[in-house]
Amino acid sequence: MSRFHPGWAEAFCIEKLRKKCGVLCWICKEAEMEKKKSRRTVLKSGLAGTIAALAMRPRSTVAHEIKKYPDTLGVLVDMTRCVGCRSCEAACNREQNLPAPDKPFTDQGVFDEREHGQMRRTDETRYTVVNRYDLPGQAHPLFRKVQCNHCQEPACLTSCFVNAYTKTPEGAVIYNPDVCVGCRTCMIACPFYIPAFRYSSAFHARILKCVFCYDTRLKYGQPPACVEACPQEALIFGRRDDLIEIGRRRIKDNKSSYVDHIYGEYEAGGTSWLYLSNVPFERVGFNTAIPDEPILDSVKSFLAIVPMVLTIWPALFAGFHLLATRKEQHRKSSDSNGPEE
Amino acid sequence: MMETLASENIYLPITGSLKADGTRWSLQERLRLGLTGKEYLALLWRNPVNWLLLIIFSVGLLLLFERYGLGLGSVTHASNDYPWGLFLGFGLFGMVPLSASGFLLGTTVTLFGRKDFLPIERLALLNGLLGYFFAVVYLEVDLGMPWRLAYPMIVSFGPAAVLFLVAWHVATYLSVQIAEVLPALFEWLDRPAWKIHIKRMALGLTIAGIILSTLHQGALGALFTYAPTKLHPLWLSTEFQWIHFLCSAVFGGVAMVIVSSTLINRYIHWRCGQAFIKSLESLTLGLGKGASYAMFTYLVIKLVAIAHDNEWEYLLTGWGLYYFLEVGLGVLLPMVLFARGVHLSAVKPVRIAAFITVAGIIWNRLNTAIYCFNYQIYQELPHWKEVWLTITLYALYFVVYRFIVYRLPIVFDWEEGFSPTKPL
Amino acid sequence: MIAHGKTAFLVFLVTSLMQCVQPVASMDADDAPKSVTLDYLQELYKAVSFDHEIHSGMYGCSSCHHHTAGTGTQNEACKKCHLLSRASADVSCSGCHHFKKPFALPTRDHTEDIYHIDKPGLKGALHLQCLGCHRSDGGPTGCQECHDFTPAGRRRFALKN
Repeated sequence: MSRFHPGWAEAFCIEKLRKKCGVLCWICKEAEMEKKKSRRTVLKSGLAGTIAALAMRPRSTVAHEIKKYPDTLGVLVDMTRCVGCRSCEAACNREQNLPAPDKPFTDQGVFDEREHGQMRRTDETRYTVVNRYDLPGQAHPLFRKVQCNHCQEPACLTSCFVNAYTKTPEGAVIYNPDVCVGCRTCMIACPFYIPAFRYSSAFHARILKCVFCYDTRLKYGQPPACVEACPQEALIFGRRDDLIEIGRRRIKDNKSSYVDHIYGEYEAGGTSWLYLSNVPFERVGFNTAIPDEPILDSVKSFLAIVPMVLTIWPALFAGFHLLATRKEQHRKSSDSNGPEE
Repeated sequence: MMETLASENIYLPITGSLKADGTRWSLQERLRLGLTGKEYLALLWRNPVNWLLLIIFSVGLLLLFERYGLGLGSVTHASNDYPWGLFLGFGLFGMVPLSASGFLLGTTVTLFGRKDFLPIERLALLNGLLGYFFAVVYLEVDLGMPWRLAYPMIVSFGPAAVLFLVAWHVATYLSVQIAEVLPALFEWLDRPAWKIHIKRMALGLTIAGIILSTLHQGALGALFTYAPTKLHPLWLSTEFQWIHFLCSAVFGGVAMVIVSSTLINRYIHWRCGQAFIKSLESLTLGLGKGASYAMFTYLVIKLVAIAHDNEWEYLLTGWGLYYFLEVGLGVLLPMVLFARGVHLSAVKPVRIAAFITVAGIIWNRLNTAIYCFNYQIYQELPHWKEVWLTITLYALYFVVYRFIVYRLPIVFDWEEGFSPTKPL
Repeated sequence: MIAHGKTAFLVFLVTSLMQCVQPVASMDADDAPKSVTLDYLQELYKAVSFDHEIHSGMYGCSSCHHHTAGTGTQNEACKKCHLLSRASADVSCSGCHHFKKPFALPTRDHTEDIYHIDKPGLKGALHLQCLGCHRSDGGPTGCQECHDFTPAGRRRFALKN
């Protein structure tokens, strides 16, 4: 019996009536049609796709090789589900032993806080914040959870000159405070403005950011505290590839409810934390101008010339020196030859 | 003031190891410029610049203690969006290009064999050394964990990072520059024989200096390519940022030598030797010529960068106007003045141009690091304490610079001799 | 061929007749408990006494129990397969939406199931289902409107005293 219709099979399958299934019932027929249709569409679209790919510039991700971390884990954040309860903030605070906040996590007034006209951001007391977006035309306010996105090719990691950051096989981007010098280049590099610095301390300064609950949970295959705490399963945890599949399925099944884009799938080279939204992402605080290439790509133009300069300059300038001082050398040699002449 | 003192004391200023009566100057005497303790303090007190320095340091030293005792948050706005402020924006990014004079004049004299620039070479080398040294001082004030400064050298390596290159190069280059300034120190300490060790390495040191300088001047620019979404496109070129910074360092370093030599010639004239004084004008013109070539090149490569990234439309915005202002006043105007001065063999426009250039370099670096950075969000202005502390450290640089120029044979020749009947 | 055609017609007749009639095993409101105690979040919140009677009076079974009550389904995505599904043996939420390990790795009903790849765990299922209607149809939407804090919950949320 077709695996598409388990319920039907139990109730009405001709086989059950002990007749050999020589006739396709209307459901199986439909399934067959679907299959045939999809095969035809695949062929058609495949052909169309090939022509399109040849004619147009392909999507940068197809052309650009994103480093694959098979089985890397991630979180899918569905903004249509978040209700701004801040359970995630509370759970993170406890899990990471962060200082008690000024206002309790039940306080919804924090969504109105503004500093320099900006909504809340991570700082030395909090690894994650939820911000509210009241958009006209929306039945409910939208909430966005902000935390380290655990990029596939993190800018913080590539910019750190003491190798304080590590991208673990599980997908977490973690930080080692024992080698950090406090130069804060990672804060400059992060396109999402995530790392925060403990400016308040003279002797125990360090970077503070979400570490995907690596030490306490992720290492053991468990979801981070925020994901576990979320009552609405606005956050789901799993393999990044599976999450993308789920995200695409949600978009497909609810076309009117989602923007057809998973934020973080390709941005900055791809992130482990992915987002779904029902409004255009730039309206809910996302930077949609972040390129699909990893940040490191912007630096490569310089990095490439470093070995070239190291190799070429000595010979080049030794050559200049010889050219510039040839008269003097000639004079020196003629002086030494002089008495013989 | 030295004129007054000179008429009182025929031994001053100290230009050699021996006094007129043949006895050796002691180290303390050399440090006190040959004056007694009382006279020296009177000298200090008479100088109005020192009164200003006193005010700056009285508050500045307190701020320094606050910074180290209570943390960076006590003297800055502790911004997570603007992690770099004036300590790096001015102290590192601003001062390093102005300290390019070391490798520039070292290359000119030692590599290209232009011995005519010899009288100004030591000043350029000292300028370079002190600039880099104080860039490190600023860094130590800025770092969250300043006691870990050496970590990228000895504890944990992140070799793919641009800053790794900067750290290693600045450390190495400081050593090169110290070596290049040591001969002056050796002379002053009556150990001229030690100079031979440096002389042997002169060409090697110079080439090392060029390599290191090219890379780290460029690397400081490349640091900003880590934030392609944050820096305004007119100030950012992912392909050419490093070349822009390198090229501007060339004319920045040259301009700083002109500024420095002008100020020394004007305000510390008693210290200047014959060779220095006689050749200064023609050398200034020569430097001005070099600077104008570098500036022209810079203007072209800035244009190339705009064309490369197709940023023409940005020129028509408010930021575009600001860009024209910075490039126009900071590069084009002094370039024209340099060219004019060289053409007319007039040293005054060249000097004015040099001052404008120095300001222009600082302006460009502050724009890149702070003002045009995060252009899409709010603008953060530095805390007054951060400003004061930056000025304090610069005042410290000034004091050290002056201290050395007063004593060591930088702008004069050791054993030059001094005519007691004609005060300088 | 004619034989096939006849059989096909018979099958068609029978099935269409059946569609007019309620499928054999279905449920109605009287089969359900009057109230359900939801005590899965006992650590941070006190147990909730869910008034099932009120809800079953207002809505059909399939509003909340998807297609498992045997009363058809309103969800377009489910209709494809479950339009005429019989009632399941266990219609309780926790029967399918498991409490333990709700989302360690994506849950699938069967290993070869290609459809149910996005099944929420129990906590998520309850909140999504309840809050969804409460927000649109009116009902308690605040956290404490349904379940009060335990002392641990008050501590977790940094509430003073």
